[in-house]
Amino acid sequence: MRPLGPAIPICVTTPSDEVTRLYADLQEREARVRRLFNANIIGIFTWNLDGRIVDANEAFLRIVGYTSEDLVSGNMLWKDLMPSEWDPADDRIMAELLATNIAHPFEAEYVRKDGSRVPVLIGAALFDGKPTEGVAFVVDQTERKRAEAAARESERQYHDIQMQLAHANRVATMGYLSASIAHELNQPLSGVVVSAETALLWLQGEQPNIPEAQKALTRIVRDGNRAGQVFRRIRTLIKKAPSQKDSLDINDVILEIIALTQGEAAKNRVQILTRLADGLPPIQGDRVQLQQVTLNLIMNALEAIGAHERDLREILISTAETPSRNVHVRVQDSGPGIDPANLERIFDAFYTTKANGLGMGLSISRSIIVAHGGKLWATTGVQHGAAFQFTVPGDS
Amino acid sequence: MTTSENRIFLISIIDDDESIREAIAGLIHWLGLRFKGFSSAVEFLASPELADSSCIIADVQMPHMTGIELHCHLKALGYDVPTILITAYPDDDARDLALADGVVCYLSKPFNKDSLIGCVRSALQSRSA
Repeated sequence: MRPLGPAIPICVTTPSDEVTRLYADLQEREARVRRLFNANIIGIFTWNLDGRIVDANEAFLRIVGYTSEDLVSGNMLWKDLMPSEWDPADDRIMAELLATNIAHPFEAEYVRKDGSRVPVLIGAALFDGKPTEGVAFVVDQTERKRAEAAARESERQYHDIQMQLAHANRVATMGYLSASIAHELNQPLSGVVVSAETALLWLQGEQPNIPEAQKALTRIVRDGNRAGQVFRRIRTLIKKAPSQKDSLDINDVILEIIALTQGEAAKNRVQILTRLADGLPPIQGDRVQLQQVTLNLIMNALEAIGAHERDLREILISTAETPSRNVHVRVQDSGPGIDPANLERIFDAFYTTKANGLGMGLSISRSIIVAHGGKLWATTGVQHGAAFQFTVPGDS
Repeated sequence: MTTSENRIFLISIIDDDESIREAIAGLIHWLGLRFKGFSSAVEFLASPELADSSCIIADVQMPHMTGIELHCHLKALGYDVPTILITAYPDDDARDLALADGVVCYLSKPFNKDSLIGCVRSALQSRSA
């Protein structure tokens, strides 16, 4: 509906229909470009190779902290927005722009008017037929960077808590083992005392017996080293060390822990048997963490057996290579077994059947194995008891 | 204790721990006595030394059969061999029971040579008495 207005003069030269149409087209296109520009969804500015910013939308001015007065005054130079370490002269982005008329989006930082930095994603294009002028599109990355940093931070905190829990679990287990570890140290030390006294006896008197004294001293050296080894094993597990990946033989990891728990097993009149495969592929893993998993599984097995008066009191630990070159470890006990309904629940944190347990051992063990790219699960034993099994990828 | 007469005495040392077993054997050797080591009570029971031993020194905590069980078993079999028990887990009640049951000595690890030598002497005296 055209509003009523002044009468249109009749006798004027009117442009041809074609020109009118072209003009309307142009206006429409211009309006579209303006709309694109002023929608302020992303920052847009046009620029000149000499460094000037010719025009910019609100969104861009907001990102870099300038006002429209700054823009109008002609003092806004895009080169001023570049951090000093960014030298456009030898920049391959600028080279790409000049060579292809387009610079694909890249991440960079702009210096705001107040001197602070803002992370941005920039894309640019030269105008057709005007090799010294172009347009640039700028997206503020602050929120994304912040979200990324927050995600990294929460990931790091989660990892820290996992590590602390794992350490607490190791220390608690070692505390539980302290009596049998004291025994492990007492044995070689008792040997040392008796052998040292015997060596002195051989050396005293008119005709000291040197060869016999040497035999006693050799035993002292062996027993002293044995005590030292017990000590090293404990220290490794108690120490708070950052996790590290090494190439490991799973059989070594298992044998170390068997040596550490042998005393506790003897105290509970349990025999630890092994069936360890030869020639297993090495695995990439954290020695202490995998020892911890083995330790938790042996302690669980000991407790399962300990609670029940049975003739057969044994733990069988076996290793094998799976067809997909994974290393498979199985800890089978002769205890009462696990109710099939609980085979998954036992891996929940704080799930425990023990009066003095926290119920963290299996949950921690599972997260350690998962972090190693493997699986940890429980089954009921073939003949009796429970079998805990885990796989870890072999090194290829 | 280094007279030739002592050569007839055989001491059996039964301990699953190599350090202790060999250390005691070394001391017995210095005393001039014969000795034989066993890593379990079962191994000792199956050996010819079972009938020959003048004294046994046995660890209390051993898998399958403890030192106390061995002592009772020997008594039941009619072997009245003086027994010295050694333990890393001394327990007053167990000690009183063992001594009341005829065990010569109940030693806690670590022990010094004099207490062990004293025990071996009284064991052999009770043997010859």
